[in-house]
Amino acid sequence: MSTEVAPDNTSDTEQPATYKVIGTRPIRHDGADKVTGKAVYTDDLHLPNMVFGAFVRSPHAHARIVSIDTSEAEKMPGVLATCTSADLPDPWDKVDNLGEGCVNYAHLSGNVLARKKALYKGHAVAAVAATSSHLAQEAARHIKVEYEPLPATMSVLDAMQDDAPLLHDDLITHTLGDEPARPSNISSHIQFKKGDIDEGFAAADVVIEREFKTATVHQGYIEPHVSVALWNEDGRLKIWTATQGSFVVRQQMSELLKMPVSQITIVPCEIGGGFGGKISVYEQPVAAVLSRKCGRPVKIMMRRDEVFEATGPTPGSFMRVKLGATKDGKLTAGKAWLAFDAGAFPGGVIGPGAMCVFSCYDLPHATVDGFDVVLNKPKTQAYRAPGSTHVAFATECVIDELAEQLEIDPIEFRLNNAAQEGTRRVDGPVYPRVGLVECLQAIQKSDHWKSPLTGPNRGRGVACGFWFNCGLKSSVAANVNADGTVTLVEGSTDIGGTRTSIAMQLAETLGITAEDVIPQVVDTDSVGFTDVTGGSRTTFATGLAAYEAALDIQRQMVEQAAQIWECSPDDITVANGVYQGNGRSLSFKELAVQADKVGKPIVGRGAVDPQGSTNAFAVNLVDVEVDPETGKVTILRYTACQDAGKAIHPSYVEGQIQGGSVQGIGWALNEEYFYDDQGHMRNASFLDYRIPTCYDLPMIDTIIVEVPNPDHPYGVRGVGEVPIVPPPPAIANAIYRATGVRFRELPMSPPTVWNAIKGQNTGE
Amino acid sequence: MAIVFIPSQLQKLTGAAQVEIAGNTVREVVEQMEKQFPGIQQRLFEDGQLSPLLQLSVDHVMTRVLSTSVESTTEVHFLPVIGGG
Amino acid sequence: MKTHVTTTINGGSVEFLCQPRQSLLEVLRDELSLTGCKEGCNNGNCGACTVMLDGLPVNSCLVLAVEAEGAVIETVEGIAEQGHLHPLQQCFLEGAALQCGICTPGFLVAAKALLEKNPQPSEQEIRFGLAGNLCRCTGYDKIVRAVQAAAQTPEAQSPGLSKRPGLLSRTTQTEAKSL
Repeated sequence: MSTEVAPDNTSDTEQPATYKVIGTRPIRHDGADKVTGKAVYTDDLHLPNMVFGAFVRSPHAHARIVSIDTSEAEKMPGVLATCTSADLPDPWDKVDNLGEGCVNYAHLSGNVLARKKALYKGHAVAAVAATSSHLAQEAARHIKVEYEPLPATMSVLDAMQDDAPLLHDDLITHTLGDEPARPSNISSHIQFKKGDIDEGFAAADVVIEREFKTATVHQGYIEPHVSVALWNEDGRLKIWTATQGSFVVRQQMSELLKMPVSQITIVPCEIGGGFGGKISVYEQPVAAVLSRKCGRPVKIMMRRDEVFEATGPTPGSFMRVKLGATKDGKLTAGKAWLAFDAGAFPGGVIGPGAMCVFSCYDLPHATVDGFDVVLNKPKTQAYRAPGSTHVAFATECVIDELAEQLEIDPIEFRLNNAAQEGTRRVDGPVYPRVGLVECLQAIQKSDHWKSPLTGPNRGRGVACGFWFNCGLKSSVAANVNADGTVTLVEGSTDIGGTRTSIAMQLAETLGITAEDVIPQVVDTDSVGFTDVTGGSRTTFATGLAAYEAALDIQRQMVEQAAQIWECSPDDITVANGVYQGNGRSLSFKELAVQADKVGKPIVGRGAVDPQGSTNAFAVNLVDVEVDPETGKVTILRYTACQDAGKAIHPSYVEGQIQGGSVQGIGWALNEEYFYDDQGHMRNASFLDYRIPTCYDLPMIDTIIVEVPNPDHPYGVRGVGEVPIVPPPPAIANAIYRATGVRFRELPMSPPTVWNAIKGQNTGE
Repeated sequence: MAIVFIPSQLQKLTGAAQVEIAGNTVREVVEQMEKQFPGIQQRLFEDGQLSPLLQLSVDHVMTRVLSTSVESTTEVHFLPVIGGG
Repeated sequence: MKTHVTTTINGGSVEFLCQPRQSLLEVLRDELSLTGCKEGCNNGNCGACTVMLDGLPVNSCLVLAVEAEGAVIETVEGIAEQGHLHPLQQCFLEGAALQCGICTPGFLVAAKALLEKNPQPSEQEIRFGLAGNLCRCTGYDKIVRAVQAAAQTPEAQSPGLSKRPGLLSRTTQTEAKSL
């Protein structure tokens, strides 16, 4: 059994609702296309007269660009255009909120094509379009760039030193308080204080302080970044692209190219994974400029090494976490010092990291200091619950050590201190109803927890995780068809089955089947503004928009029924999709058929901007076996429990939990960017940057807890991100019980584990 | 009236971690706060709007809407923006 | 300078011209419009481009198109027949064994090759057989279960009935099943 929905965990005030569609497992609407090879991803497009673009990238981690000479490349037969940062409008220092975090357009433009300096190896410097992709790659080698190499800084602590090479001469640390006079690589300093930590630590019987490091890791989507741009003679720009948010791409393109959003159409094709890495633009503006220059559609697809070296990753980090507790197992105080590498431009994920470091616990006294630090690595991006996985690794390992020293069961210790309704977070706000306690209890009740783990070199670990989840803007339109089906037009790109989870909410509200809804993801000209598919928001917020559209349809259907039945709309009742009035009764479908003949078309609209976070918690339980000969860690058994609020399509909720857990397992055990002393990534391929294969894993058991979100009609919380948070600390805690060694650095790869075991055995 | 939780780095200006400020909306509260603690608004706002680096938490609801209404028991927090994956 | 190549693809005779440097993946996608096989890495590590070449699953990005002379090739487009999904395709849909779907064609081809060689594989044999295909979304759980489920279908167990009719329709009440 992979799923155990815990019905006794619904909120105290509400009885579990009975639904006809929600909670069932219909086949996804785009399923047949995707198992037959018919689904159209961006790279599957081949427009008439299309040509191909390729990038020239910096071979240096840090260098001044002295000159760029494109003349030789331009003379090659079949080469149609070249492009450098000089072809992009001068950016201005505008910081904009993209709904999901913010972006400084000067930095974004400088990341798309380097301006005066290349700031990391692989930084795009120029591009070329040619009649074939092979020719474009060849031509790129004939663009001559002269560099003046500069010293690079590659680790977050080094980059913070006063004498570190500066990436940006004008970067002044942003704080809410006084800002320093001198530039540095520290782009921001965030601080939270709650209570009085001196008093808190004085009240503790046990205090533990530890340092942690995590490596830079990549989102690792299987589809590389790819776009096709067509800049038409009428000045309109159309871009087909793989993105988590077509409207956010439009917004970025508008700012970078200084043209109105109304001149730009973004067509979101099917997308092969994103996980936070396909929100920022990279190749899109370059493809657009090349298309403008050569008058033909231009496709740019990155190679896998370009994806690793120049997109994505999420920060490496250095963290120091201190926690105190009393003998009876109550946390008294916490202190965290966090430094995340932002990559080459400011704006990493330190904000949420700092907010999440103690978010699972009720801590009376705490301080948190967080630093965003630039260094010579690619600009970092969000990766599934950005920042939270890093800090959970630190906090959950210290929590485990505290529980051990206090001789308290690790789940009981967490339950003693778990955040719940009314708990004030260290960053200030008080939680509404949340489900951490329920998740811990569900793990306690699980067969996994109750089954003893025996055998040498084996250990069991547990850890918690938190992620906010967000609301943001979503729009849908829903057209009732003459046969009683409903076409649902939406702007949320579908990365993991959200067409269906959104359609199911429309169907539930109208009292029709999921199959009676035909969902379509459309371009930016064809639906209202919709924020990114990210932040675990899509099933929640776009689902809410679909719910509103359904209510709108229902109102119109009642009016039509009143016309047909010659009565007042007030005399009509609707229940479970059956309309009754004036002694008559029709199902939604029957009424739709009649309404089509007599009244105006029925078009429902839904436009929402729900405020707030929906607060997801997860608890993982893992058994590992460590091979003392090789240091290899094998996952023997894995159980991931999560509060989903309400699982609309349980299979895809399980899928999010399983997929996120496995990304967390990869982060814990194998994944890291290896840099040499020149700041060159040495493992920019899927062979050497090793994400988990199915042979590395057991089944991932899931437990879905449902503590309904009071701010959603069906209780949805959003599920996509938090599953990645608990795995690294849960595995570290399990490895400790298997080996006696506490690992405080990610990844816990075989050489690291083997060396530590060997050191322990030889007393080193 | 609202209870404003002052970010620790701004507490030098207010001398307190929490202050009660008059106003019916978050914007009114911030404008009133500026009268009491000159200089605080420019740390929180940019061009008359909330700084793009910040978001609000009004009671437990994360938002960027300055017209959000507040009552005497409403808590207002200023937090970093969050990016999601 | 292009080379003429004659192959059989998905049961039909196909001729094409290609440059010696073009991979089979590139020719399938760009010259023959068989875009079901995907490019994820172009260096043989992700398996998204898996096709059958003379009865063996290969990464088509690592095969030169000129090497396909005389070969019998099967791609994801050839797995379903006349509107009937293969049991593997049906089990992938019913078991929600795909999220973004970019790796799915490669997994289907690799899984079909596995089941043809070993009709009743153990969980470990499935995991070993599919270890050359990367999926970043699902954590593999539902993929492995879908292959297990496909192996249990009557069609998979009785040779000669490899296609399952009438399975393109969806049903709402696909009851929550304990996979």
